[in-house]
Amino acid sequence: MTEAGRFRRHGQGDDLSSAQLFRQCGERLTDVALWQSFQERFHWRITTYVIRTLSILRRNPDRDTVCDLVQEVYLRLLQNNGRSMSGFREETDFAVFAFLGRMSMRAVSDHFRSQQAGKRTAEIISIDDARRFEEESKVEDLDISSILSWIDVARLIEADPDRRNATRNVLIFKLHYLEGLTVKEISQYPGFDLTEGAIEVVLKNLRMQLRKKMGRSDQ
Amino acid sequence: MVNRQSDTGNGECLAEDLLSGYLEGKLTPVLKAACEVHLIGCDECRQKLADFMRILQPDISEQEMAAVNAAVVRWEQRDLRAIPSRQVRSWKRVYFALATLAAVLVMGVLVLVGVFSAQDRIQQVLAASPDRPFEAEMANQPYRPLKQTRGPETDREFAAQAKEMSKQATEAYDIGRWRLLGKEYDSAIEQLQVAANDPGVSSEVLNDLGVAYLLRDEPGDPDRAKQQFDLALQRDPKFLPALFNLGLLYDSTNKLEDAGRVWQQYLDLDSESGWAKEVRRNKEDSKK
Repeated sequence: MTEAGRFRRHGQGDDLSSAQLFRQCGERLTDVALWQSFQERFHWRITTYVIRTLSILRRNPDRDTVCDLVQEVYLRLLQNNGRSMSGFREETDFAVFAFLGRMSMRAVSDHFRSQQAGKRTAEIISIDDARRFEEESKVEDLDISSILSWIDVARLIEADPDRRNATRNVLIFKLHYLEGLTVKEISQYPGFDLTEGAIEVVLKNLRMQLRKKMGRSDQ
Repeated sequence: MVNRQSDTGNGECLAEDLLSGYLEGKLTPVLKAACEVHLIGCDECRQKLADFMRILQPDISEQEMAAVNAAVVRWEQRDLRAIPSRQVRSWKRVYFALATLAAVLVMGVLVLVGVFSAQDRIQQVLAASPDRPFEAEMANQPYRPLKQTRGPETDREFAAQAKEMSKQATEAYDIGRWRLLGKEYDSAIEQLQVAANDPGVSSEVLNDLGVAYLLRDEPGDPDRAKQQFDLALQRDPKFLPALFNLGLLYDSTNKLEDAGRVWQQYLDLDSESGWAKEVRRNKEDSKK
């Protein structure tokens, strides 16, 4: 499922690319029509990023808090007379989305950090601790995780017959087994340049090599 | 983002734009490989990359869709716009937050296009805000009531404006005043001390240096603040901001009799302004 059509494009910024709209909004902070377009194009996405960050932080706030955090993202975009927007140098949609994603992550993390600072007695759960807790709960992955903690990764890379992509393959392996990303999630990014099937093959090959190193035959 | 291998450093963690560049597949082969080597070895960067990948996923689950839709509906119910004002609880607060934001932004634009001269920019910024940055009174500061409920967004806007303008200022006094407005007290004191070393130093400079000490409030600062206010009043016994601040200083150090005397002195010189009304209230409060 992709972005819903709640905010359909209609208005002054319709003909602009995401990056152009982003920059122009930063240059013309009081242009209502441009900001209307910005909201139509990006508001849903910003809300999604905020909610996903909250999910990573294992937080389940009410809708008002989500709205407040989305507002905080807008506030950060407007800071210093919108310089972060007007000075945006990238051109692709992905770069704009990535920027908004980073902004959302920071806004949510800072919100809870400052909230915890205010409640000195409360338990502070950092994003790293939350992730660690999640990892520890994945019993079926524990074997490979512990193997990866001591295996000589350099030798694993050297042993990969696909020498040109050896580092990429090991990174994919770690993203899957240590960080818990699914094959589909990894395949979404052009940086890896692999289909789901190709990623499955990479994972299978590296699993085989690991087993060889451990002196086991592949099942 | 600059695609150079040195950007990744030897073991240095990766910048966020490098991570998004990696995911987008726009890095050079050399930089891409360097990033991969780092990401394999650095748990922190790899976790950051994984979080980033989860957040930017183009696909959205049913559960996420429901949560996002609910939040967007709430946003519309609250009639919010892409102009932020965090955690507002009443229309009055919304008004003050938006008015402050708009005023500071408009002033920023006007300042950038050179509408105002250097010496009156601070006054213009302060005059455009419905609020004031702190309780003490800077020289030539127009009166604005001090809101107890002033939100963090107001402080941030003052700070952002002050930070930007202090870079453009050339005189130590101007830089010091902008930094004071931005609540960078150490740096403000440093600049204002330079200005105060001028043999022809004015009451304005001495007052503002006193305000910086008063606000920083480290051990010894109340005495330093008093010294500056006294010096300002030696140069001009009718210099009202110094009297106002001296009253605040006495009040905060529990020297209520002295505070009452100084405030009466103030009211003898000014009984009508907003500052005077605040002095009168403070004087009444200190009697309770």
